[in-house]
Amino acid sequence: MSRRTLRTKALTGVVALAVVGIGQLLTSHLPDELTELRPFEAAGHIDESVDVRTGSVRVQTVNGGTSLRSPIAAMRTSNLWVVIAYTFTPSQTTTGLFSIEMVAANGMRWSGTASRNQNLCTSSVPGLPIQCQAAIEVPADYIIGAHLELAPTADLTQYDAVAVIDLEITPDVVADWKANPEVTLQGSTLGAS
Amino acid sequence: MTATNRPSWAQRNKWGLILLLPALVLALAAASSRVQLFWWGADLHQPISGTQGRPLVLTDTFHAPEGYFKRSVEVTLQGVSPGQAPLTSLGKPVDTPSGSKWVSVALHIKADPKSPLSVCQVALRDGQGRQADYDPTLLGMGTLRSSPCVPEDHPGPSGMSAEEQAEAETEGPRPAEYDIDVPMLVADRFEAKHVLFWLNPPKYLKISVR
Repeated sequence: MSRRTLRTKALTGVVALAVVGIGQLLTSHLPDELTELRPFEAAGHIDESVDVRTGSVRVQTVNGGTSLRSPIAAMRTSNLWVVIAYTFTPSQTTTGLFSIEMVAANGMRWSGTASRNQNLCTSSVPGLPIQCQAAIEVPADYIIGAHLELAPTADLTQYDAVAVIDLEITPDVVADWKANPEVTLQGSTLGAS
Repeated sequence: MTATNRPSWAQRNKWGLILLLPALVLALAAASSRVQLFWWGADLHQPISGTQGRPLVLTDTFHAPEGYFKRSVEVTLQGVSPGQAPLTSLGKPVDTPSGSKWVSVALHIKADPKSPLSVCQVALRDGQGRQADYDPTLLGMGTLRSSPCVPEDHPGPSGMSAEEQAEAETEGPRPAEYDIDVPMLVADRFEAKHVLFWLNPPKYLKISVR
């Protein structure tokens, strides 16, 4: 074997090893399946405006009680009803905000559309706020430290923008809500508050 | 064989290199079918542009259970002006939400009375690309007529079946041409630059407001 052939083979080996090494390095930095499905989260607090791709959302008040009075019915619970009032303002198109979930510190989730829960939020035009309300029935023991997740599309938050709002629920807040016999759900209205 | 006669790497891989380009083109073309399937046809991507006062024709082929049909509608934008709140069923103006205003879009429409047109959509677009759609549910069902571009009392057929055509005849056929005002709710600071009109995306009329 000539010296030149030997050098070419050695060089080929080094290049092959380098390519494999770079590939492994890249793979280790690429998002795994779970990470790539994760939405783009934007954190916020009560009364703070947060962008969610199709507009901006601002959670205004959070209240709780042991029964829910809505325009069509009154519903008691052995747990708690949490009523969230929020404003959504579309930025570019006529749309609404269709996904709202309460998430406990341990990862348990309660959707605004599951079971008896309600998310009263229709659509609006760009620049015109819509006042929305959601009522979510939750077990009182699990909601201390819970947060709210709001997203433009219903049930499909993968790859999408999600506003993550700290609800500031403390043991004292839960105690107050347990003592509150009724919370009211009024529905959604168009226009600035 | 001497070193100078040995074929170069490019020569040895000639066919691979020649086929590489068409292979890349084919791979891209195959992947691009998804653009057509999931994106292109789902939204407004083919404008037919015109200006206020000049008729524009929109032609499309639509599918009904009875087969494929062609329809054509001629639309003339007559004007966009400040509008009045539409009336409720009790004859009172609806409450205008705080921070919004009504805009009236005056259209002249010409189409075969047997063509189903009630699926039409109207929208306003401003200079920043913001799009306010006509949405009959914005202020609750029944406040605005369900279709923006057909007369409420003579909307014409909703489809191509014999029953749907006969029902339209019973209601009284839709005129072959008519004027119609479309009440549009927009935010206070929204200034319309274009009126959009479409039946089925991706084709749409994009009419400049003078």
